[in-house]
Amino acid sequence: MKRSRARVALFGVLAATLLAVVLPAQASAWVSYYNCVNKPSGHWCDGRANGSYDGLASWDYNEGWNPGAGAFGVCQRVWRPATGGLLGGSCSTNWTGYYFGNVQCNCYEANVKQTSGSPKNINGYADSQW
Amino acid sequence: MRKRNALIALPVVAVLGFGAVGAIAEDDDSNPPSEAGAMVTAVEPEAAEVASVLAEDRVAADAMPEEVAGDIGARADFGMNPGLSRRAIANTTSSVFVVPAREHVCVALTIGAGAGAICPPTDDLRSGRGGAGTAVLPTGDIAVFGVVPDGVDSVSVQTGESDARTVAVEDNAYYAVVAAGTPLRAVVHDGPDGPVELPIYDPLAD
Repeated sequence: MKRSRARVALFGVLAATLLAVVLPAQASAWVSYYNCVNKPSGHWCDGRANGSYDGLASWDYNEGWNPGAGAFGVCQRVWRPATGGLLGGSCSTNWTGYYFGNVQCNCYEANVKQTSGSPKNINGYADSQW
Repeated sequence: MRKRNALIALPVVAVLGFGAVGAIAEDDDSNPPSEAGAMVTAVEPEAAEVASVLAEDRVAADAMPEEVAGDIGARADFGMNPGLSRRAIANTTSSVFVVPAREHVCVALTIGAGAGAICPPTDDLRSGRGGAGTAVLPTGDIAVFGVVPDGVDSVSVQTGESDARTVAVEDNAYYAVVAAGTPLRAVVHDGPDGPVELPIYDPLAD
């Protein structure tokens, strides 16, 4: 019986130790990749049409990029659908990134778009882990 | 004995499982191009040759706001190191910092507690084709900013159908504010190889 309890205790200690190492990083991080295929120019991509919809979160960072060849304009924005308010937006050629600081409200949507004038793939990445 | 080994192995396998998922995610083709490993530890010579502000001694005023530097350093996009930043343009609301990265030269515009950034490849910057960035300011107006190579003293920010405004370059960077709703066209300058036209885009346009 003593040996059995010792085994259970050993298991518990091991599990708790290992999960303590792993879980903080998992719990505090919310990461989203949204890849929009053949997206029309000027249309914001939120992953609903081509990609996984990232939903609302307290995005601290958002970036958009051209995943293919050539050069065209890419933009990103983080905004609050409930109010229409913009937390921040930026554009450049082929890549744009924005650091929003420590965002607290779990109420923002992250989008990207391309402005080439014709349908193109556009990728984005957002996270709330920093 | 087997049962004990299984009990001990279970959490180990679970943790290894987490690691495997992480590895798969990192190998995904959709990973951002900005994922370039650790931040650079020094200004690359090629970057300092193109943008001499990076060759100057770094002083206290070159430090980015602590919170922004922390966010940028945590991600290290393109290997960007905010600890090597140079403040090119000081402004009461937003400032422009040139930040060295790996084979890229980034320029970050502080906006409130955050910052927008662009990171042209050093080779593009050398020819003056480093691209121009735009960002929405808290006022709703649009900031136009970017980095240019040595020898470019001013840029022309072109808006509307034919409006053009000359903006002085300071320490390899430029910054201008355009009223919200103004059609944006391009930043134009005389680069090392001739005239350069860099398109600019409106982050507020739907």
